[in-house]
Amino acid sequence: MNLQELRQALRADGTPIEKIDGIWWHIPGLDVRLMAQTLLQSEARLITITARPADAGECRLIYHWDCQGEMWHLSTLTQGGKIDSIAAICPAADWIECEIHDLYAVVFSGRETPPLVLRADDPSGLFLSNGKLSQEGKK
Amino acid sequence: MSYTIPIGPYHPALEEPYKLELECEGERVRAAHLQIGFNFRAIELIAQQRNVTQNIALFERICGICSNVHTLTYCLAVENLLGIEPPLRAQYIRVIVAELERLHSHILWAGAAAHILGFQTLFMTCFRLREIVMDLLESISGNRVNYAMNAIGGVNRDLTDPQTVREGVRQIRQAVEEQLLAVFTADPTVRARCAGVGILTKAEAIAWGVVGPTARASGVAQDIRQAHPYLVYDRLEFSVPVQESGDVLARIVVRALEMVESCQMIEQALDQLPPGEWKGQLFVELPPGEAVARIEGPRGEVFYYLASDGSEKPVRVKVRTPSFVNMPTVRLMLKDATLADAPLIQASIDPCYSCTDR
Repeated sequence: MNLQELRQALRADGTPIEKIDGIWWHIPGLDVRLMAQTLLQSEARLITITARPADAGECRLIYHWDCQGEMWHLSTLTQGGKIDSIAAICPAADWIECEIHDLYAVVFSGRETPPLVLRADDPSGLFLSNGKLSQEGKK
Repeated sequence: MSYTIPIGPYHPALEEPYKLELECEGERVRAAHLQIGFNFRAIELIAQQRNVTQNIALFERICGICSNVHTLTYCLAVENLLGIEPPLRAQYIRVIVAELERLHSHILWAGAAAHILGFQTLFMTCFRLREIVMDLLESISGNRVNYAMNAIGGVNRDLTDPQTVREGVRQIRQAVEEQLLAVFTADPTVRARCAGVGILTKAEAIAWGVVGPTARASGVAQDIRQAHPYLVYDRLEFSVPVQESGDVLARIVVRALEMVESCQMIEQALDQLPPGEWKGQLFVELPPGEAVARIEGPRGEVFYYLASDGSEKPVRVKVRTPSFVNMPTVRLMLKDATLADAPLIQASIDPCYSCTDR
């Protein structure tokens, strides 16, 4: 699959930028489930998802893919702190989404995100609070 | 009769925290549940409070076994953002240290596997070999664990005695070929304990994004050194061992064969080692932007994401370790396995909880 085919499949806007470390493409309103289905069909591998705080309480999520040895970094913003989960389509995303919920409180629609690196009673969004846990402390 | 066995947070085979609940029927494991995070240190968040150079020491402490791969991948990400490339001699030195670290990791793991199998003589053999590797790394870096070799744009120490490295690697290669490979590929006890045990199919490995020797033991022929070469790996001749059976034995054999390949790569790198500059540089600030880097660590692909706003501290560093993607598949490997095989199956992916928890 090339970028043009991906653009058509995703009906995506934005301009991909080619750099030494892969292709970077920010796509507002990206349908992440369609992205996952399309890329997995072309035998791409999800490397990981990076979360970064963005304006207005949203998070920018960067989906890093290995497409036949080349890295594609497709990013989009959460909407109201939410984004669709791709874990049902792409099992590799299971723990990644749980960790992002732990650290940035992103809600992944269509699944539960039990604590992964935090303990059961810790509030999610640890990195948003600059690492400060609730008064009850870590149990 | 069904029952649940809680194990951990201390690992039944390795000295790292991790919790496992095994749902069993008789001697069969029907389901397994994993809990991690007991060693969570928020290192990615701490990295946002240190400057670009201080972070090298921080990332070196993510893991005691593969400390070098973390500083290497981080430095490569910083170099990608800066748009610089280390001198050629520094790149060769980085390869030599990285392959020595792989040897150390694989030999240590082989010793642990031998111990779990009850093969104590092989355990002793592996730990004797491990001493040779640690001595070599100490002779190069001055350290036996955290080598502090990588700097932004180069390395912190030159390799001044290649002959000692060459002789040590020759000893390791001979022992691996004559002893480890012979036992791991032909010994009936090893075969009886490992063949057909803890299978991860190729389709499962692909779906779960498994990396490194665990993936290659399931028929996924992927190695970042070959698929997406970095440093001077494209100047070295090596093959990528792949097995198709996806069982514990395949994971053992892949790592044993990789040790031989690492020895050959070090020998080639020593032959090709050019004279010239090797030192890194001191960078206080990064340009604004974002970059990634990835390398093939002993346990598989290590991936770093780095973002800068132009100040001296990064605004975000993301660390994706190989164990983080490999560990969830232990649940698949354990399904319908015998309870007695559970410690060996878990250990067969060479899990690193320090890396996973960060």
